[in-house]
Amino acid sequence: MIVEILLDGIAFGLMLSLLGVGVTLIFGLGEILNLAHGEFAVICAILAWVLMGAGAGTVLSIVLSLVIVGLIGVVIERFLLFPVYRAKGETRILMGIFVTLGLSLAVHSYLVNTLPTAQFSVRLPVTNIVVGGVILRPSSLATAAISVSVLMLLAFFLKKTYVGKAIRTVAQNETVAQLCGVNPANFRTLIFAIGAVMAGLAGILYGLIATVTPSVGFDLTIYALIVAIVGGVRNVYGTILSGIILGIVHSVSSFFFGTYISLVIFLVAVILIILLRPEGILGEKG
Amino acid sequence: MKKASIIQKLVILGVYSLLPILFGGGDYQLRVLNLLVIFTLFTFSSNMIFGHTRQLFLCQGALVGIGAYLSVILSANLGITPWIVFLIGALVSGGIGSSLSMISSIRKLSIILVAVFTLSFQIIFGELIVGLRNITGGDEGFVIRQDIIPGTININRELTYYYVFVIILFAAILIYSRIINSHIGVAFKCITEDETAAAFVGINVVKYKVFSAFIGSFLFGLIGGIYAYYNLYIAPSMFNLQSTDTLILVMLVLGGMGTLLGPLLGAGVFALIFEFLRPLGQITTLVFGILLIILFVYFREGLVPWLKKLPALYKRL
Repeated sequence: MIVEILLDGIAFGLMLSLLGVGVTLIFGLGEILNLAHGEFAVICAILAWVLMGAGAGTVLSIVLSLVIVGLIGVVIERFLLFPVYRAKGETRILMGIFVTLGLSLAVHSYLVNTLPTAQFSVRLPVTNIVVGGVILRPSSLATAAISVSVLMLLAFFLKKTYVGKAIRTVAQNETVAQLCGVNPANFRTLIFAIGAVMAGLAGILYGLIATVTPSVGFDLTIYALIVAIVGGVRNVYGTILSGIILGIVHSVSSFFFGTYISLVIFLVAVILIILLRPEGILGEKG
Repeated sequence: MKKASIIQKLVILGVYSLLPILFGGGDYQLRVLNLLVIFTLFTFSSNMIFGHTRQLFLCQGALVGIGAYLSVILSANLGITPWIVFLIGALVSGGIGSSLSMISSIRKLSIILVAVFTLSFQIIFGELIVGLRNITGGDEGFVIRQDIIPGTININRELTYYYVFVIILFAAILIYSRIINSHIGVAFKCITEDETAAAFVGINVVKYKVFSAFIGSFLFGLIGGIYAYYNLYIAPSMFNLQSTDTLILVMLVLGGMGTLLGPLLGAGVFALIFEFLRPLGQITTLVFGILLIILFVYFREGLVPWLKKLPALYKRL
């Protein structure tokens, strides 16, 4: 029994990590705390719903919507956030917060008003698998497998490829990166698009566990922020770890105490981690 | 107080007293004006906390809600007259706000950590209100049966509340300018510029942050209580991030942080834009969101600092 709860928790946690990593990367590179991150997940899921309604197959519509979300990310980064990058320091952080807040309000109200009945959910055509008395739910397994492979791909990309190394340089020190001939603007756009696609994927995976409606964007944004900040807002591995920990806390407490108390316990855990380790789980004292 | 500043305050009082006559005394107009003054007061508190000491509190809805729920529940269950209960609600709200501020400033949390810390508190508050449905009415909300203004007297209810809120606003303006023109205001200025440097010249940063959080949260709680009795209905959805905090912060940044006129102007312009966009119907909020982005990008210091710079720009032409 406990194994099943843990597995569900890990799957949910990995989905949260997918969301949180985007916030972490975008903040690390451009010091913009993306308050519209959850909206990308919703946009992607709703797009997939629209495409599926238009007759496209499930897989095709999911892939198409992921691509479109990435393009939307590029457009938004290029045309909306470039004035923010001109500001420096605390002004940039505040401006980033407010511009993305305005964006999230606009997207949220547009989706809620134009597609109030949209709801995205995918049910896998596979029955529960039983291994040694433990019931493995295919939705949890698929979520965990897809998240792990995407996160590993990301880690490989950041560690080994030239572009990944350049991205880490920009995150460490923008001025030195420029001196080395790295143009931060292009990499910011790239990372924003990657973050948007990963958020979109998280939205699709959320559709495996629950139902995505246009109004869940704010909640997903809050989850993403919490996971990113608990993990130390510049640390990708910390974010992944904090997503898994918080996912387990969520599912264990919702099994033992019910869904209503579980959110409270989840948030109390968040407050405790913030107060005990303000630099994040894996963060270094700055 | 200097003569100019007295005149400025009297003009503000005069403008607010004449607004109902200017816009006609219909019930709809009065309702809009009431909400305008209520949110101006909220923005005023936020200006104290965020504008002057840079503590990004995302639990403003909860602070308002604590005042509202506490005054309603206490007076409904214990039969205490609302006017005393308002004060209790405000004090509890102030206590909670200042302890949140004390914890975060002693732990030296950065601006983003403070935001997530207080946001978690706010969501917990909302969940507790929904969960304790025997006392609070849960999701469906709480209908208030007694009104603090007796219905037997033949006066306009909306108009009476309007003047109650305007009197509180005027008192808040007087107290605010008293604080800002004292040594506390100087300390606030140092803290906004550079916290570390402020600590080096001997300013007790924690003390001033907690003080500003207390004043701001006290006002949040007080207005929350009266707002509940004005609205005659409270529900958890009135006190969450989307319906309170976002609006307050948008008004504050629009008007200009750390100024006296900023909250007044920000809330006023916000209300004007919203009323002008209302005929657009469903896409109102979409246009509104886009407008906000444009305003943030080009008027990021706020309207008041921009207006102050205007004469110099005019001379250059």
